[in-house]
Amino acid sequence: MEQPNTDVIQGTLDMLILKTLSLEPMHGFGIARRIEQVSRGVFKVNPGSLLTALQRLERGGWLDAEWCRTENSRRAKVYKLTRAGKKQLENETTDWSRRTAAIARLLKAEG
Amino acid sequence: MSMFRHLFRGLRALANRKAVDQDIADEVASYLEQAAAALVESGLSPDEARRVARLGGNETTVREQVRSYGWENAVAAPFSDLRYAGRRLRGSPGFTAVSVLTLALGIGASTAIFSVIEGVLLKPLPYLHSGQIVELRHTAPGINIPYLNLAASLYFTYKEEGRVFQDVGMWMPDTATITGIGEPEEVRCLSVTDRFLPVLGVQPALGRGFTAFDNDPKSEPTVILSDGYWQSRFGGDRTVIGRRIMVDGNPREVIGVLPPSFQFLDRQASLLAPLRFNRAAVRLISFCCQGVARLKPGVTLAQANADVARMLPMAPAKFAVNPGFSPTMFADARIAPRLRLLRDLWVGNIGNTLWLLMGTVGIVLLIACANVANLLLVRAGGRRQELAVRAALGAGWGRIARELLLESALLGVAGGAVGLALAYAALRLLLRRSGELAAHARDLDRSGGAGVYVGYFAGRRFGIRPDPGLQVCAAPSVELAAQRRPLSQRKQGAASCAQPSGSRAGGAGAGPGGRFGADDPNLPGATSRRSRFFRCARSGDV
Repeated sequence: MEQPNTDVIQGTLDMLILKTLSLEPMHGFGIARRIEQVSRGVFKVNPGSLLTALQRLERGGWLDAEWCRTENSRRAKVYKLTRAGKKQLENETTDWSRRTAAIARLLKAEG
Repeated sequence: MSMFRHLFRGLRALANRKAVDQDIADEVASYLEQAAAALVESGLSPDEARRVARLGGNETTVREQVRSYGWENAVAAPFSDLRYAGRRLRGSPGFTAVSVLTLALGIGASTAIFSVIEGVLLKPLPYLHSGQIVELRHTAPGINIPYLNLAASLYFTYKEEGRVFQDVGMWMPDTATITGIGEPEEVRCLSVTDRFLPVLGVQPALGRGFTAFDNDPKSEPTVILSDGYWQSRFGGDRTVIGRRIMVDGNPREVIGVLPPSFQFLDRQASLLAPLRFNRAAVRLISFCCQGVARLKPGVTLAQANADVARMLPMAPAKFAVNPGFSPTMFADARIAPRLRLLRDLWVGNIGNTLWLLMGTVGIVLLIACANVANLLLVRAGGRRQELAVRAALGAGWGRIARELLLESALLGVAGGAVGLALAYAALRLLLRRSGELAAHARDLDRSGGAGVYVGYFAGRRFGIRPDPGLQVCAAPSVELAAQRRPLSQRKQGAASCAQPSGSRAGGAGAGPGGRFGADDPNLPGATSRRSRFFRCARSGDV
C-alpha cells in the first residue's frame, strides 16, 4: 500500500508559514505542529525545509526573530510577522486563490 | 530593498560565521527537543520520542541544510575548499614538492623553447608585411656557382624593367672608421641604395631617408645613424641632423636617425651609408652586393622568379661587358633566378630543428603530466576510505569533486609559476650562450607573454584532468568494499593502469579498480578472474 503524500505543495510553504504567523508569533516547531494540525495531517513539514524557509523569510524582511523562553521554560527562537510580511501574505493569498480557482474551473469543465 | 537586505545579511553571516552557525545549531536543537517533548506528552517513552522526532532528519543534516541557505555560502565554500586543498598539499610536502618540480620542469622547458620558436619562427621579421620581402638571389650553373648575389647591372635592370616589385634595394655590409667624436673607432655599417628602407617598410625616426640623389657620387655624402649609436655617441641629441661627422676621413652629413626597433637580419650596423653608383660607369659583371625587394601585393614567389627570368636577358643590352671579359660570358653563366623570402633566409635551417625540439619538449611535458597523474592516483588510493566516509556522511559529489580539482589545480598553478621562473632563467642562459639568438633578444622579451600562456594552459590542462578521486565519490559503497583489498595491491593496480594511457589515465585507471572491487571485494583486482574460476570449479565438484 502506498503512503499518502504529505509533502507541502511546492512553492506554498512560505505562504503557509506567513499565514500561521499572522495568527500569533510562534517558534519553528509550533509552526510545524500548527500546519500539521490545521491541515489534519495532510501536510507534514520537515524541519530542514521549515527552518530554511524561516531563514529565507527573515532575510526577505517578512519575519522578525527573537530568542524567548517558552511556556515550558525552554529557549526557542520565536518568529513574528512584520508589516512587509503581512503585505506579502495578502499578495500570495490573492495569487493563490486566483490560481486555485482557475484550476478548479479547469477540473470541473466537462466535455 | 530586499536585495540590499539579502546582501547585508549575507555579509554579516560571512563576518560572524561562528555566531550564525551557533544560532542555527541552537534553533535546530531547540526544535528537535520540542518535537520530542510533544511526542512524550502524547504518550511515547522519552527515548522513542527522541527517535521519532529525528525521523525527518537528525541534527547534523538539518543544520547543514539550513546552513547552506544564502548566497554567501556560494562564495565562502570555494574559499574554504581552497584552504583545505592548500592544507592537504602542505600536509604532504614530499608529494607536493615532487609534483610541483616535475610540472615546473615540463612547463619551464616548453615555455623556454616555445618562446624561442615564437621569437625566431612565428614573429621572425619586425617589418611591415614581411611576407612580401624577398632576397634577390640567383644561380649560375654555367660557372658552377649555386648561389649568386646581385650585380649593380641587374639591380638597375630590375629597377627599370621589373613588373612585380614595389621597390628594389641593394645592400652590402661594410665597416667605417669614425673620427672626431671622442676616440677614433671602427663601426659596422650597411651600404644601401635609396629604396632599401622603403623595401623593409622602415621610416627614419628622425630626419629623412635616402633619396636617389644620395646615391649619386656627385652629391654630398650623407649618413643615417642607428638609434643605439645616436644614443651612445650623441646622447640622443636631436640637433645632430645636419651635422657632419668624419667617416673614413671624409665629412658626411647626418640626415636621419633610425627607429630603436630597426634590425636588419643579424647585422649590427651603427651607420647606414648610401651605395653610390654612376649608372653610366656600371659594367655587366658587377656582382657586389645583396639584393632585397618588396613584391607588389598578391604577387607570388613563382611569379617574381618568372619576371626576373624574363628580365635577365635584358641586362647585356643595357650594360657593356667589363673589359677583358668574354662577351658571351654572361649568357654562358646561364644565370637563373632563385628568389626566396627574406624570412626563410633569416630562419634558415634551424626551423625544423626548433620544431623537433618543441615536439621533444612537448613530450617531456606530457610525461611530466603523466607522472604527476600517477602520483595523484597513488595518493587517491590512499584516501579512498576518507572520501567514501565523507560521501556516506552526505558530502555531495560536486563538493568532493571540486575539492579534488582544486587540489590538482593548485598543484598545476604552482608548477606553472615555478616553471615560468625556470623558463625565464633558461632563456637568459640561452641568450648568453647563443650569439645568433641574441639578435632576437628583443623579440624573446616580447614573447614572455606567450610563455605565460603556455604555463597557464599547461596548468589548466593539468588541473582539469579527470581526477581518480571522482570515481570514488561516484560509487562510494563499491569503493568501501574495495577497501578490503590490501593497500599495496591497490596502489600497484592504479599505477600500472596509469602508465600506458598517459595523462588521460586519471579516469581510466580508477575505473577497472572499482569494477574489480565490485566483482569480488575480498580479492585483489589482478587475480579476481582466476579466483572466480576456482570457485566455479569447487561448486562443480559438489
